[in-house]
Amino acid sequence: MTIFTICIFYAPTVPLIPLAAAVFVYIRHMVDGYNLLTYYRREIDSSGKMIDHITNTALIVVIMYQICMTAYFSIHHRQSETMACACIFLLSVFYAAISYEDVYDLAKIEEQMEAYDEFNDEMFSKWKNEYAHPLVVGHSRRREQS
Amino acid sequence: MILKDNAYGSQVPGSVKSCLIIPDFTQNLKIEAKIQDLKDLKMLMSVETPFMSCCIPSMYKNQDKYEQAMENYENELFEETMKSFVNSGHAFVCFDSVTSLNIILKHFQPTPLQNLKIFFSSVKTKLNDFGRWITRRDSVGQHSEFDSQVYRGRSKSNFLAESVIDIAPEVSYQNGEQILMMDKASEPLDILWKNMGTIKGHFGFTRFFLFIVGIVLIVFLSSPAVMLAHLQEFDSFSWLSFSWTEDMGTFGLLMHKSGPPMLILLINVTIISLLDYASVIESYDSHSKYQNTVYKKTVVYTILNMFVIPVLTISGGGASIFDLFTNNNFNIAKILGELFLPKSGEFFILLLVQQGALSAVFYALNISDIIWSFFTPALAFERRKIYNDQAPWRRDEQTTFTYGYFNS
Repeated sequence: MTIFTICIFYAPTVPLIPLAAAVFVYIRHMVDGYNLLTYYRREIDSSGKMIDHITNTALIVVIMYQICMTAYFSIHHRQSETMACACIFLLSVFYAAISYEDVYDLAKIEEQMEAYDEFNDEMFSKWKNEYAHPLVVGHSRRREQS
Repeated sequence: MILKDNAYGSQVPGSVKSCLIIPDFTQNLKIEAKIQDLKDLKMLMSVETPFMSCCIPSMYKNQDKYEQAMENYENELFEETMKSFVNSGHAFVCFDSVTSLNIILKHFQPTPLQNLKIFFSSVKTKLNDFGRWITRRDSVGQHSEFDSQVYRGRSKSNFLAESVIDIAPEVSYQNGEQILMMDKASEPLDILWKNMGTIKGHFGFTRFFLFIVGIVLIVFLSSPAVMLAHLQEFDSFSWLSFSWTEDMGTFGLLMHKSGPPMLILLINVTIISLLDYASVIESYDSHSKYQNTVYKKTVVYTILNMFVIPVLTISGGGASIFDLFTNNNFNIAKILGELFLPKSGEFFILLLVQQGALSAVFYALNISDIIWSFFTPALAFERRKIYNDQAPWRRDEQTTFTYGYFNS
């Protein structure tokens, strides 16, 4: 997000920065993808909230950029550019407000998919095993293995 | 019982199917992790001879010392096992449907007043602890109200019969002294079992204190870029200004350009490590929550410190952000208008390229894991296989993929 912010703010005045940022993002994507698929393998974002935080941050950065542009034109006494930037800013805020929704709300998806009167006992027993404390259930078995 | 008394748990839909009470086994878990680490490393080292054997502690190399260390850990574990059973205050509750879960979550969401209460309760706890520390009073004998529970013997199951649960917490909940907090359970692999212990106090005060310290640092001391500028003023040998590179030709020019961004990155990494440590102290019960906190802290800090403040303060002649505001008569429009001027374009290109190259090399090679495996890649790989497949509960905050930090 920091790189995205620098890229957004400097893109109009220093065109080399978006190029450097694109190289950076590509390298990070390759490295992180490789690590997640081959080395870590088990990472889970169970709340699914990270993507919401990231998109919100990106939205705030773009809106801050528009505020800064408006301020820049305003202090240099360029009325027409200031008005145009202010209009774009207001439209962006309006659009963000009316079109905002959670990117990935697991609870809503599950609620839509579920059916009543179908409590699965087999799944329930699996649930109990999965959430049991690691030192309570299977403790002796694990020690035997090691 | 609280759920049942309030008729949350008996209606259809909304009945509680089961409840898993989590015991406070945090100390046992830590000792068990040490024992497993000792065993695994000893076994792995007998297969692969480490590259830097001089750095390896003697308990992994010497059989007698290994046995002694193992005996010590076993004794510690035995002592912990003999202690009375303590409820951690955490429980997993299984409802009959997701709809019920959502209704219950909405009902038990803390109100702003309750959040304020939690904050003042943590301030009170901290002040009491401080007072106790000043007067050097022995805290032994001062137990929380949960200590009065009827303890049960250890069992292979962690289900509790209703009859053995004491009503003390329920009474304090009804009186408003305790707040029942509910959240959707994390995935089993995502749970940080080592933090599922008794909650001694909330972290409201700690977070507020860190926030104030952060604001003071940013406003009065400013960013690493300004810190470097101040350090250069005190540097009588002009080493930090990189003027000594002038006689080194093309290589010297490269060093002159890339040296300051590199120093700023180093200072930045140190401060980010402190933020990470602050998140670890907050003891989240899942990796996801920890990563979310790291993301929020780091994104605010890095945007301020790597972009906003360096641009403003460098264009303002290395002054702190407080000086900048006072010199511009608090004209925020003027200060914001300076943000995207191409004064520091070259500096940021170098900063991006350096950060990209260094982080790609560091994380592609998983250098931190290799360092903690005594510089032996094979050992690091085998340990990772154990963490992934055999014992995922042994992963801590530092041995997981830190996507919160990467996204920031």
